[in-house]
Amino acid sequence: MFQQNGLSLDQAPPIGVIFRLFFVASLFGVLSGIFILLYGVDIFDLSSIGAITIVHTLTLGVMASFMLGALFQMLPVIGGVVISAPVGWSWTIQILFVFGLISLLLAFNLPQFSYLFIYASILLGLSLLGAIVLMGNRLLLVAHHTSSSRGMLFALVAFGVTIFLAIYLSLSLAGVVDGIYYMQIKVAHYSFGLFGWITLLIFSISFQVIEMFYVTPPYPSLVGKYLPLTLFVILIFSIFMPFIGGIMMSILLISFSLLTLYRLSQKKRPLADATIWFWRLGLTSLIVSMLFAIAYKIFSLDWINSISSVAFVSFALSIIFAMFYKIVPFLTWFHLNAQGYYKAPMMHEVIHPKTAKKHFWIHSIVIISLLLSIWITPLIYLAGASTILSFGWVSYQVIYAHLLYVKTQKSGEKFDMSGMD
Amino acid sequence: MNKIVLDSRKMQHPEPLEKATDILNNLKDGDYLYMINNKNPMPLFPIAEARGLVSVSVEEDNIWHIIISANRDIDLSSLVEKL
Repeated sequence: MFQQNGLSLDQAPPIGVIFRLFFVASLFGVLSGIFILLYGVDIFDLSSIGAITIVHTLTLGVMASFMLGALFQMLPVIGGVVISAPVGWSWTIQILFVFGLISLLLAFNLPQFSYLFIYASILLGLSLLGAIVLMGNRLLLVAHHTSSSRGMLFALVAFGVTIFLAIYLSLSLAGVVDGIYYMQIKVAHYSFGLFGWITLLIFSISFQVIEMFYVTPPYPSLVGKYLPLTLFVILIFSIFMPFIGGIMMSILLISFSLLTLYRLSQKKRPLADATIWFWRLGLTSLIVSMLFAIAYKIFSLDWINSISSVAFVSFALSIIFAMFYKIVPFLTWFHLNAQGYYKAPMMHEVIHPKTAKKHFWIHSIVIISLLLSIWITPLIYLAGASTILSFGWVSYQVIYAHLLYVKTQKSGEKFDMSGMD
Repeated sequence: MNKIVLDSRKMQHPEPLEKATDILNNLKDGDYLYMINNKNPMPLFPIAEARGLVSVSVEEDNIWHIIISANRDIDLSSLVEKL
């Protein structure tokens, strides 16, 4: 195989697009910490207003923002997918998204203003379905799919289903539709969101990054080829047969997590940076979450369900942080170098590995204190405060990287290309 | 032509990119970088282009051979060697 060209700077979206999505995600993370302080241990009652508010702040405000930012950055690399006018699109998507999410959070907490659900449906629907169509459309055109691009496509479809179901739920709460299937749709909504969107997207990204970042043997080709479809089929099956389907889903996710942990143990370099520990924590959390999800199906005890939920949050956030600490230094370094700044900071100067390691411990305190507060309720305040610190830490890293980028552009020396034409 | 070899097959991200870029920053007219990597290092090519360098990458048996030089007059693919 012969290849002349790689990724061009024109194909990659401007760095500000990704930084802005990551920064807003971290602000919603701080907000989720404030909500933990406000609602306390009520968040463990999954039908409470507090739990619903925090779940949507985390899954939409934090996870979806980070994941859309990561997709904007990864699509050109993985599938050669070019999103035209990324700045305009990302601003439009993000403004609608922020106002939509604020409307939704207010709607949950102010039931007398039920029309807020209609605003939320319109704003979030336009924003997220717009993002899905924008990215999915380009992904469909990819001539030769990899395991990652195929999985991302399935994940975007699942996200679309999640949003459509959410619109039905919101319109039911606003009294626009009768909501006769409310409970069934609610189960399908969170199943598609948690497993079809969040989990499948993380798995799809892992096909690409585990081997590349950590120099491990590749996944077996059958896994990459069939896992997205298998997960999708089990997901649909579990909507109609929740007991058997749920157990099958748990076994699938545990198996993939164990395989990835095994691959990480096979890496050729003994060096272990913080991102590997975030991956290990995330995958172990998913295993714990799924084991307790199976146990909950058998014993139906609330504390078992709480452990499963907290562990799932730990899974998603840990891997988001692992990717964050790879993406932000790389993008800063890459954009400056590709613009010819030969004195651009090295990646470890953008975010030092020790900084990421410190954050790993803060994040671990968040998860441990959340788990323990199921029994020792005052620890919920430690969980809330450490969540604020954790996401405040992330927002500071984005600001620092941005300032370093601007400073290098202003004062950095470039290669003189004037004589090249 | 003076060959500067970078075998990055066992290096962990981001070492291959940073080491290659460091070599490119100091590449003289008569030099060329010969990099051997497990993947095609896509981000490296715009970085080379920004320095006025030309590049080519060739895959053989899942190993990538990347050649980058300031010399625009030679056929870079002819410099690919068997491992």
